[in-house]
Amino acid sequence: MSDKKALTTEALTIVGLVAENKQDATRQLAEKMLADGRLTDIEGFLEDVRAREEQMATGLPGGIGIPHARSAHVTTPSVAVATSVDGVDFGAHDGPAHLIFLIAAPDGADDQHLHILAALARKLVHEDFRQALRSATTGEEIASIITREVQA
Amino acid sequence: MKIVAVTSCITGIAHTYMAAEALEQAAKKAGHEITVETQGSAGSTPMSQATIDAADVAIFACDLEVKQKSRFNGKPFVAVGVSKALADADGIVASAVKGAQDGTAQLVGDGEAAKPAAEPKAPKAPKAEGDKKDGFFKKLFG
Repeated sequence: MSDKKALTTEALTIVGLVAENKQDATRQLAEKMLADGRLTDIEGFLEDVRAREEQMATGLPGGIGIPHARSAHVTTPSVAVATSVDGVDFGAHDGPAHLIFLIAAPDGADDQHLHILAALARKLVHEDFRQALRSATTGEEIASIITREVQA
Repeated sequence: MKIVAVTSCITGIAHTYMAAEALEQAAKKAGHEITVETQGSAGSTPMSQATIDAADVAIFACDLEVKQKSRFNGKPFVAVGVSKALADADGIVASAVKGAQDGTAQLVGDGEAAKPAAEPKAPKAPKAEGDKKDGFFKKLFG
C-alpha cells in the first residue's frame, strides 16, 4: 500500500454529522471524498450510489448505514465515515444509523483493495468495533481505529 | 453439526462479507462448525468438495444465484436473502440445524431441472428425490 492512499483518513470523516436524510448524509460524505481527490465526478458517483440504494436500502441492524457503489467515478477505494448523534434513517428496521460508511470502489479495483473492503465489512458486524467508532470524538480517532483493525 | 454457507450480494463489496462474518459468529456461538464461501468481488475461493460433502446442511444467504450450485446437490439447505442473514444470523443457523436434524429441510437440486448453463459437466440425469414440482414451487414462492 506504500504509494497508495489509505482507505480512510481523517479527511474522510465527519464527527457529529447533522443530515436531513440519507441522501444528504451520503452527499456530505461524498464531498469529503471529492475534496480529497478520490472522485472524478461527484454527481455521477452519487447517482451510482443512489441506484444501488434503490435496489435495497443499506441500513443494517445495529445502527449502521452503508451506502456504497462500484463506480467509474471513483479513483481510489475509499471509505468515508460519519458518526451521528440523532441518527439518519437508512431504512433499517431497528432504527436510524448512528454510524454511516460511504464505501466507494473503482470499477476496476484490484483484489488487494477489495480484500481490504471485505475486511472492513466483516468488522462492521462486531458490536465492539461499532462501539469504538461511535465513541470516537475526533476524525483522527475514527481513521486510526479503522486503519488499525482493517489494514494491520 | 457441520455447516457450509454461501453469501453474495448485488455489489459484492459489503453485505457478502458482513453476512459471512455474521454467520460464522452465530454458528460458532451455537457450537457448530461452519465454512463460508463469499461469492463477492474480492475473488471467490470455492470451498472444497470434500468440505461440502462432509457438511450436514447448507445455508445460502444470497441475493445472486449460487455459483455452481450443483456442488451442493442432495444437501439439506436453507435459502435467504443476504440482509436476512445480517438481521438474524442466529435464527438462520438455528433453522438450518433444525431442518437438517428433523429432515424437514428441502434438498439442493430437488425438483430443479438440470441447468446446462455455467456447469462444466454434462447435464445430470434428474435424480428421483421426491416430488419435483412441489420442490420447485416451494423454492419460488416459499
